[in-house]
Amino acid sequence: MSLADRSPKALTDSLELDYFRRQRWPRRLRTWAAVGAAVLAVVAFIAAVGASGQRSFQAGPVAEPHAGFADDCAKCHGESFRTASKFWTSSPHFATPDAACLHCHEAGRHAARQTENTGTNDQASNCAGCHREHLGQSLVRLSDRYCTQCHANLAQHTSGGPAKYANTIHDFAGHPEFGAWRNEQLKDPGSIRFNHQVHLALPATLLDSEKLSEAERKARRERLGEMAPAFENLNQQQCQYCHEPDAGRRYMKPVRYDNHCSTCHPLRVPIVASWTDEKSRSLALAISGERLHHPGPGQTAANVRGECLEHLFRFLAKAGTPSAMKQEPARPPILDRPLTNTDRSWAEARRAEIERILYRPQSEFARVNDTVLWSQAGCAYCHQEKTAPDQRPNGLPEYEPPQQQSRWFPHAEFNHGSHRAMACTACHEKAQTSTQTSDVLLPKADLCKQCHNPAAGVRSDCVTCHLYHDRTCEKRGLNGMLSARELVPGFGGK
Amino acid sequence: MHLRDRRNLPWAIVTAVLAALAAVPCFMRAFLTPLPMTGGTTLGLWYGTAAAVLMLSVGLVFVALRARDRRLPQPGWIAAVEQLICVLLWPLRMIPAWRKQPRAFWLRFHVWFGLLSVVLVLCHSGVRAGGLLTIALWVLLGLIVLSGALGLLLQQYLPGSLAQQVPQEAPFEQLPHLYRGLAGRADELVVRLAAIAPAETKTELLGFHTGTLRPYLLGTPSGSPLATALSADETFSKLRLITGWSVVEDRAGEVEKFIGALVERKLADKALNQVRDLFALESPAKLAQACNDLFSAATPLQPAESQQLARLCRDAWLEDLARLCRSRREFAEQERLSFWLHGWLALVHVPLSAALLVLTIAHIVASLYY
Repeated sequence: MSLADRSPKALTDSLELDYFRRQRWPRRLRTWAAVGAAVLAVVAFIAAVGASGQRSFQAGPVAEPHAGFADDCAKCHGESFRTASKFWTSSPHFATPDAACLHCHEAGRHAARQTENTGTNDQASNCAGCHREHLGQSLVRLSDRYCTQCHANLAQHTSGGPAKYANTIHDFAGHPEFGAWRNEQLKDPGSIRFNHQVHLALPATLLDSEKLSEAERKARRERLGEMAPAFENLNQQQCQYCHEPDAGRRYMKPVRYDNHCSTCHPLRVPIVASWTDEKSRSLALAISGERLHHPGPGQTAANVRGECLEHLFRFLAKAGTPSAMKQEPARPPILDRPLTNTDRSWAEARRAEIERILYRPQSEFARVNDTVLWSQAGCAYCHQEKTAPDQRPNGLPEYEPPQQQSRWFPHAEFNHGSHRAMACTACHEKAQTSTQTSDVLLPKADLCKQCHNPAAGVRSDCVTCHLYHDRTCEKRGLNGMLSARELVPGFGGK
Repeated sequence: MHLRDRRNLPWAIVTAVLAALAAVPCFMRAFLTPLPMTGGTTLGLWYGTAAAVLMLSVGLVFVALRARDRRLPQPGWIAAVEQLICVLLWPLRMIPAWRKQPRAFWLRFHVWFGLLSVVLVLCHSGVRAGGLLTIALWVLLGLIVLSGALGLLLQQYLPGSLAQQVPQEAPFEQLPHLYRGLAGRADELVVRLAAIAPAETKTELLGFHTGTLRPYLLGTPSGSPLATALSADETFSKLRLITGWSVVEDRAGEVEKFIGALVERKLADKALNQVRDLFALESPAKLAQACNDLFSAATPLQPAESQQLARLCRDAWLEDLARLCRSRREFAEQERLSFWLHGWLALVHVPLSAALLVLTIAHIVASLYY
C-alpha cells in the first residue's frame, strides 16, 4: 500500500498500533525539563541564601532607617515568630518585642490619659502594632486609621472624664478648628507695638512714590541715609525681612532688634549742647551717630544707662575738656585722663536729658517729630512700660518682656519650607491690613483644607501635621545610648 | 479546551463565587483594622495554606492522571513520585463523581481552580511583593499563569490550523515510523524506475534518491530542495529534464486508450473489471503495477505496448515520488505546529511549575522554621 494514498483507513493501516509506547520529545522533555527546573530552583535558592543570608527570607525590604542592620534579624526579632501557633491564635505576635525598639528609641506616650498602647515609664507600648516593618514603606507615615482607632470616639479610649480635644475626628475634612482658635478670640500676647500694615507699605511709599520727581526721590534717599538700603530690602523681601526661617526652614526665628529693627529704629545717645568750638561739635555729632546696644534678654535700662555714660565720657575724653582733678582715682578705662567734677556734672546733666528723651512715656509721643527717622520717640515707642513714670526705681523704666510667640499650635507640626512656593500672604491674609500687635495672623483650618484635601491632591493625613509620640518624654533627646558599632553591624564595611 | 465551550460556564461561576467568598475575610479585615494584611497573620496563614493546597492539586492532578492511565512501566523513581502524588491527591480521588471524569474535566479544574489559587495567593500576601524569595515566587506564578493563558490561546487556534494544513494528521508519536514508511516506498519506486530506465539516466536517478530524496524523507526537512512545494516542483522538473521523462499530459486518457486496446484483444471480463477497479482508486502507481501484474504473466505485451506501459508507469511513479514528498511536507508542518501546541507546556509551563513547587516548599519551611 502506498503512503501517498492516505485515506484514514490507509493511514490506520500504515500505523503501528502500539505507537503510544514510544514517547517523543514533548513528553520526554517535559519530564526532564521539570526535573531540571526543580534542580535549578534548588541551586538558585541555595545560592541566594548563600549570597544574601537571612535577607532571602525577609517578608519585604526594611525601612530606610533600619537598612543598616537588615541582615541581622535578631536586632529586632529577639523572639521566635511562632508562625505555626498563629494558625489557631489570633493574638498578634510580631516577634518584635517593645524592648527591641526601645533599645534604640525613646518613645514617649501619646497622651497621659490614653488607656491603650501605654507602657511603663511614660513609654508607648506595642510598637510593632503601628510601626509595621518589611512593608517597603515609611514606619511613621501611618494611615489615618491608626489615629481614628481612638479619635473617632476619643471618650472610649481615654480615662478621667471628657477629653479636651474633639471627641470625633475621622479625617481632616472633619477636623475642628485648630485648638488655639477654638475658644475665645485669639490674641497675640506680644508686648512690642507693631503695625504690619505700615511696615509693609511704608518702604514703597517712601522710596518709590509715583508722586515724587526723580530729584525728590534722590533727596529723600539722601535724607534717609543708612535706612535707605534697609527700606529697599524691606520693600523687596517684605515679610522675610523680619521673619527669617530657622535652619530646618520649618519655623520662623524670633524677630531680633539688632537684625531687623535697629537700622530704622536705632538706639543712639544724642549729645546735645551749645558748642563753642568746632571740634566738640563734630565729635558730639559723631558720637551721637553711634548706636547703643539694645538690652538683650535679662538686661534692663540700667545697661543702656551704663553705655550712655560710657559714650558721654568718651566724648569728654576726646573733646579735651580742661581737667582740674588729674588724681581722680575712679575713672572709666577709656579715659586717658582723670574725671573731673565738672565732667561728672556735665555728663550727669547730659545723661538726664538723654534719658528724659529715651524713656519718655508713650503719652508724650504726640509732641515728637519725625520719630521714625531719628528714633526720638524712645523705648516706649515699641515697648510697654510696666512701671509708672513717676515710680521708676533709680529713674529707670521697666518694660514688659516681648513675649514673641514662636509656636501657636503646639500639638501640630508645620513646615514653612514645604510651602515656600506660596506667598506669605496666601495663608497670612491679614498681614497687609493688620495694625495691632494683638492681631493673630495665622490661618484657620478652613484655609488649610482648601489645599489639603483628597480632591486637591495635597496630602491631608493626620501625620502630616501631628506626631503621635510626645517628644518631651525623650529624656536623652539626640544623645542616644548606642555606639556606632552597636547600631550598625556592618560598621567599617566589614 | 475550548473557551467558548458551554461546559466552562459552571466552572467560571463556581470559581468566581469561591474567589468572592475567599476575598470577603480579607476585605473585612481591611475594613476593621488598619493593620495591613500579611502572610504571617492568622488569616494570612490560612489563605496561604488554602492557596498551597489548591496550587498543588491543580498542578499535580495531571501527574496523578498520568499514573492512573499509564499502561507502560516507568523508571522506578518517576513511578514512585507519581504514586506519592496520587497519595497526596487522595481526597480528590475519593469524590466518586470526579474519579472517573475525563481529562477535559481535569483540565477545566486545572485552569479555573488555578486562577482561584492566584486569588488566594493575593489575599495571602496582601498584594505585596515581599522579599527575595517571595518575589521569586511571584515572578514564577506570573509566568506560569501567562504561559497557561498562552497555551489556552494556542489550543483555541492551532488545532484548527493543523486540521486545515495537515488533512491527514497522524499521531505525533507515529511520525518517525511514517517517515520510514515514506522512505521505504520511495526506495521501492526508485528501484522500479531504475529497472526500466536507460543506463544513462539511472545514475542521475540514483543520485537524486540517495542525495536528496531519502535524506529528506528520513531526516530534517528544512534546507532540502524538497522542503517547499515550489522548490520540490523545480527539483522534479529538473529530474524529468535530465532523464527525458516528460510529463504525460492526459495520462488518464492514455491509460483508458491503453486499456481499450487491451479489450480489443479479447481480454476476459473479469480482468477488465479488475482494471476498472484500479482506475477507480485513481492511483497511477497502483494502476501501472496492476497492469504489469495482469498482463505480464498471462498475456505478454507487444513491444509497443510495453513501451507505452513503461512511459505511463514512469510518469505515475515520478508523480508518486512527488506525492511522498508532499506528505513529508505536511508531516513537517504537523511537527512545527505540534511544537507550538505542546512545546509551551514542556518547555515553559511544566518546568516553571516544578520550580514554583520547590520554592513554595522552601517558603513554607522557612516560614515555619522562623
